Amino acid sequence: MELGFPWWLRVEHFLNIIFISFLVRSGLEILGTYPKLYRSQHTVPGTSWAQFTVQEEAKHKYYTVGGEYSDYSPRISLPGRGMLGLGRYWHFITVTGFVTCWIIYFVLLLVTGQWRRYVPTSWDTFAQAGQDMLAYLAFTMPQPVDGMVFNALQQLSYGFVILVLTPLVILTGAFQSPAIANHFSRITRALGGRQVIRSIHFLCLVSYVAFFVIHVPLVFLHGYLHETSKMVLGHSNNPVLGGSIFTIGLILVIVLHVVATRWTLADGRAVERLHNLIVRPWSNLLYKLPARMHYDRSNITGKDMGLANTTQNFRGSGRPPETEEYLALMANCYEDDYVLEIGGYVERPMTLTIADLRELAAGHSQTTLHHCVQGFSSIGRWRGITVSDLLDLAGPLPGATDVVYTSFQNMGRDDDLYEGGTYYVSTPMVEARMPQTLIAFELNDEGEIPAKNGGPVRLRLETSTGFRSLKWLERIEVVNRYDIILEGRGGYFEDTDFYDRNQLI
Amino acid sequence: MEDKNSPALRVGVDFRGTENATQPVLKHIKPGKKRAPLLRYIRINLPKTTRLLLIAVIAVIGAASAAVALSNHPPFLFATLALWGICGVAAVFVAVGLLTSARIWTWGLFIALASLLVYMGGLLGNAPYVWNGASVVSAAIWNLTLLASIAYMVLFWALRYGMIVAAPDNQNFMD
Amino acid sequence: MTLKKTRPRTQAELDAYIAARPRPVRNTFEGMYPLHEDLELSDEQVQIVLDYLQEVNFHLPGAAPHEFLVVRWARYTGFQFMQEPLDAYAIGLRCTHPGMEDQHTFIRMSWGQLMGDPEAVRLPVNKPVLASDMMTLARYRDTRTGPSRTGVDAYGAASESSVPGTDFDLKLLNGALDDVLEQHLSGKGREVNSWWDPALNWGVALAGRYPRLKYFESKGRLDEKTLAALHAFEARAAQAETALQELGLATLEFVAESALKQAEKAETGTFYRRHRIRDPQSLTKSEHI
Repeated sequence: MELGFPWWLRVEHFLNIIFISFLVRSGLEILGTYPKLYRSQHTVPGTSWAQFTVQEEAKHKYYTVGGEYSDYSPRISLPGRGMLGLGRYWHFITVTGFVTCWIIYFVLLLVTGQWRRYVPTSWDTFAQAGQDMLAYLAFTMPQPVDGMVFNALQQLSYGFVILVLTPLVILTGAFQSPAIANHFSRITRALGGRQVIRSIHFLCLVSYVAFFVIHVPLVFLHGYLHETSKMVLGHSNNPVLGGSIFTIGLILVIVLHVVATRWTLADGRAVERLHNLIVRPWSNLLYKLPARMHYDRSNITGKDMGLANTTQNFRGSGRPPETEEYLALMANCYEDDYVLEIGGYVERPMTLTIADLRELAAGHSQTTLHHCVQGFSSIGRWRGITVSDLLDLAGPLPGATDVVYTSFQNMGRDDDLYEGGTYYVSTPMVEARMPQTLIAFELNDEGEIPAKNGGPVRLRLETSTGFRSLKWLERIEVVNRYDIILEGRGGYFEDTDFYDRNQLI
Repeated sequence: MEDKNSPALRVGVDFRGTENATQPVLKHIKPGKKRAPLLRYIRINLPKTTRLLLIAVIAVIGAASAAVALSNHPPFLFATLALWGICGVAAVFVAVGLLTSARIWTWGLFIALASLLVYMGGLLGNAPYVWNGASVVSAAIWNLTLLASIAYMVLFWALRYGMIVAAPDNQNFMD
Repeated sequence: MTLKKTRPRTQAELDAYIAARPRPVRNTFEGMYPLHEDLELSDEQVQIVLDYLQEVNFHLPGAAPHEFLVVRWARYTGFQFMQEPLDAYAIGLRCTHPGMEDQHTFIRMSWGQLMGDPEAVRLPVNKPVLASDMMTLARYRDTRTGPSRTGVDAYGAASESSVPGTDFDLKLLNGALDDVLEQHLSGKGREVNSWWDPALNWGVALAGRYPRLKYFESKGRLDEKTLAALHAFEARAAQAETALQELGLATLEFVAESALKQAEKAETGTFYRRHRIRDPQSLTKSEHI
């Protein structure tokens, strides 16, 4: 068959320039908020294999991951300035297009037989690719073999990018989602764990950039007008026309980046609306994937590991309450001064002490992987009682939709990084009822939860990113709406920053 | 009076009296600037891999130089001598690099520079390019001495700049 | 169910009580560099604490400096808390003054002091705050240190004729309204640091506690006293409508009507729970609701 350059392939090529450049820039924004790469899921400070920051953390004070932000320039990352929420919005908006485009492309390759342009059908292709490599090194231009549109080296490298690198980046990207990673917990562990997956996802970004750095100069060496004309017109009969259109296209891509960056920095809420329109239809489906993790068991033998898998220094963002009352609470071991209020739109409100919680929990614990929105992870054994059990006791009234959790942490008071007051989050009933949604009062069999990790009582939402697992919990209020609370977006960071309440990705 | 059980002091970390004791500090930011130079943001801590990479690049230089010396297309008069010289030193470098943990990176730079010098000599003489009648393989190997030399110099610069680090050294991240 | 009766009364009882609690056995700050760690105080160190309390005349209002038991697990606070000096420890103190045994506080001391170093740095003495005051609901509780009744049936059992916890619902609703009005009177409007908590508490109460009362009212399950209190609250809130609107907060009618409709739909099986409300229009941005 004549392979040529069919129209859908040319469209895909152009769309991918947009998608991949947006994904790389927004990906750097996400990386910048936790600019450290690790092999171990415990993310022990000092053990990263790469750092992308110039910040030295405080040495004799506990530092939160919230303070490890690096604000990259808007010229590099999208939108820059450490705006993680908006970077995530762009990443997910673009990934929707990128993955859709790739799936359509993949199907078309199979259906039309165009897969032959990328997949070698003979071992000779590899030998030929070696010859082509030598030709490039000899500063000469290798030619395609008869019937092919590329030389063998091009064929293999394009095939690698489209059929290996792209599925890999999609897979590792999907496993950044706490809902997916924690539902398919065994796969997460089989892939080497959260931080290995994150590192591979980053190395995929590096591979795209490396491909770009080699691909573009070679296009010039092979003849810019000639080559780009193929990607516009499908042939190189009119290289000036094709090359000019392609150049205009590239300029438009750059303009698109500039406009998107400025628009995002000027009107984040507009980007949020775009995100809600494009991303929510599929991100809502992830509510069907409740977390089911058992990190207290060996991944291979299934035997009880005790605390062997858990993180010694369970990391956290957000600072503990900076008040003398909290120090008094902690110095008295929390237990005799704390009460948890459960009420709101329920049949039977309750006030529970930690002893009450302990009795109701009857020794229940879960050992789970924490996914921070910024990227750190830790594994903790949490002793506690499921929210579902508490809701059964309290009995939500007809029409109850959500559960609101409020903390006694005050963001404006306790953390220099933020403004506002009491921290709060809300969960839709479906998330509150998940089997690993927990009210925890003990971490790693240490008798209590340390101050930095939300002592004495905190929420664990294992399908969401970490900031929604509210720490320093005081109240659980069942509600029948959440749009009348503060800004109406369902949580502190949702209200004050640019985060979706659906944090399943 | 010092705390004998102090987790920090026990491992020799004492920042008392400095700003960094209680606050994060930003490094490499010049006065009046908001951010450090771009490449300061990159720090890779893979000492063994980096060491092997540096040795491998010198090994490529040595092997390619030997291959050029063995070909019947000397780039210039007495080039064969120079090429064998580079090959020999590179072999010693690789052996020392693999068998000891010595910091030999400046020596590697001399090898890379010598190789580059030979390549430039070839530009003036009769280098084994395709257009000078050499085979594609010979030309590729000849050009490899250039590319590997440049690669080593870039890596050496990155090493000095702190972007990468080679064993036995370490970035010593304290976060 | 309450623990107050079983709380330790003597230093020996408290020591046994604290000693029975598990401690971290691993390095919970791995990779970080705290200058000190938590301490288990010896008898001598407990005496140092008691002497220091006398010296600085540290006492709870109504009690004396000698009326404390000392929690032997001294917490190193200089690491986790930004505002605490690097040497600071917090030592829990439990009041022994008759009638005040449930009042718990702490004293800030430096590592050197606890080590008996006469040259040790002396840190600012903290206020005799109560641990239980960390709870933002403390002001609504029936005792100084928290609710006298806790447990699953803290508010009593539900029955067809009575609904548990309506008093507390009304306390929270009225308290939230008080705070809203105070914010309005202060003239600070929607200044985020002072607006946030009143707005949060009002929103949460109106999305949960108030619909609860309206639901039970519609089912005829509220007694007359509660009904009267509910109507009094509604009258107060109606008067505060301007303040609520200016602060971008929801008003009662709007909430009550839709809550009852939603409940009715849920009861007839026609209510679909959405995971979220699409692009909420913030009340602070809209002209009226």
